[in-house]
Amino acid sequence: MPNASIYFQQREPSPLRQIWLHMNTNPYAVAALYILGILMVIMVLSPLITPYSPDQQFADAISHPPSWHDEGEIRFLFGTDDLGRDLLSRIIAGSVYSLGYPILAVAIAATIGITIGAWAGMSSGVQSSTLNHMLDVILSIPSLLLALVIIAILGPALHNVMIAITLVLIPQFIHSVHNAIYDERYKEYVTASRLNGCSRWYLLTRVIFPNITTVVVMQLTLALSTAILDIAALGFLGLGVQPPAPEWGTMLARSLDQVYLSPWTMVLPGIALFLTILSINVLGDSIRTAIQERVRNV
Amino acid sequence: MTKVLEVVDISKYYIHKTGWLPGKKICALEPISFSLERGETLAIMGETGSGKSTIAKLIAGAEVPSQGDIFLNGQRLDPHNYRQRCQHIRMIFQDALRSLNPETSVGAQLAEPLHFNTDWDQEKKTSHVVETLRKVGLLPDHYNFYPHMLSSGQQQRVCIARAIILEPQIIVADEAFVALDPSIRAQIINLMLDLQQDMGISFIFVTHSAEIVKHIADKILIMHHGRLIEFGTTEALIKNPQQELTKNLLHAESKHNVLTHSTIQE
Repeated sequence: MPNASIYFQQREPSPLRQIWLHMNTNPYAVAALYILGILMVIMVLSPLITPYSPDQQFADAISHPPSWHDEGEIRFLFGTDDLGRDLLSRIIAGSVYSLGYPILAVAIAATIGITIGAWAGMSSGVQSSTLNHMLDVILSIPSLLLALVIIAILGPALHNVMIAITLVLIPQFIHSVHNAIYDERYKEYVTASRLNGCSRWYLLTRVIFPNITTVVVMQLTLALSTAILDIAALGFLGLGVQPPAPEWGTMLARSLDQVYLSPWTMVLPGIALFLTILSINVLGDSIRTAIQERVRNV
Repeated sequence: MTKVLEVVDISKYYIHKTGWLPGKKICALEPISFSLERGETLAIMGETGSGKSTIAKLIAGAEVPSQGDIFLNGQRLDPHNYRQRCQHIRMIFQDALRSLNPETSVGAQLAEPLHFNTDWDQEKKTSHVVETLRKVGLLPDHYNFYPHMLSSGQQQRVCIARAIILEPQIIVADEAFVALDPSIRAQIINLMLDLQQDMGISFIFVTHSAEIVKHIADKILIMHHGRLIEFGTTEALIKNPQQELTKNLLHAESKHNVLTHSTIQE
């Protein structure tokens, strides 16, 4: 383009940057973003930043209250549990189970679900409905119940829980992506692109996909909060992650006996879980509104 | 003059299906044939639902005909081969905003047909897009704009730019001027007439407006209930219409003018 840089020009921000700018005006979204960002960093760095090993027991400090309590010690910032294990280390190490594994499950489910959903959306007739309804049987059972069935057969273990959660999430992705693509597919701009001689792959990835990001983002956040809650719930029931591992749900279940003696062993993992789910939902919701706002008119 | 486009017995039936029973056949267009010469402008007129949009879509390739063939310079057009067709026949849609991808910049959308139909490098594509934007009276700056940022007239110009960017032989416009206000409509029509002179394009218009038809069309095709009822030169149809409908369609505008005129006088 000639003479582009002679005068100052106000450039239109790119779509991604517009979404970012719109999100920045919402303080809750920014707070959620920071909380989630910090949680992610903590999760990735958890082997390095835990002050003690999560399984190390201190015989001299059993059920120590948190450091802000009169009897607390700064050595154990969040106090210790009834076996003398440092709670801060356990919560930090637990983020891998309670946040990392759900992210992994959602990533796998999204990859498979979006692929099949896109394929179903771009094809038509019997092929389309076969792909679309392939995994519908799973939808008839609530995710927690299906996880229970799988665990009843294969035994309680983290990988069984992961299989169950991934399986449950896939059909939801298939349906939402299929419906979104089906809605877009017969719109005029797609026909116009088709008349441009575009290949089907280009049509899907460059023409239709940018217009269904709202649906995908919404489904991703929904799936992530479901996955976190399910893993925590199964841990709480003693069917998922097994006790010595510092999973937040498991920690909640263990602390149930001593809730009156040492309430911090229940409150602190509970707060961690609550903050994670809340920030994911707030963030997902504000990204969705930002995308819609951008389309509606800046 | 040579025949650019020859339409032979094309028809379109839709199957309206409810439940498992075999569907009912609904006729949108009965078999029709006509031909178009180079640089000629054909107007298709008719009432709502008379099949005129269907003809436009069939010629442009947006719909597949139930039977019949379309020949371009004597060569048969395959209804599923979009790449063959889009280099010669391009379409302008009725609603400019809806026919532009809201998530892609104008420049990227205009480069799309070049990407699939030429083997040019990025630089040449960009310069060709900029040149085409200039041709339709837009600025190079509009390259980075998104469709919703443009006015409706500018959106229509982008659609025209998209239609002419591959230098086609035929442009099909499906009621492309209905939504525009009169001054912009005049601008755009003049723009298209200029382009026709420069590039020797044949136009096919679908329109309601008798004024536009009288102004630019060489031939008129009148549709009624999916049937062709009259086809001839503009002059012949205006002076000597054979059908009542033709008379009504072509003189509707002038009656309307008289009315507004008289109210102003009052």
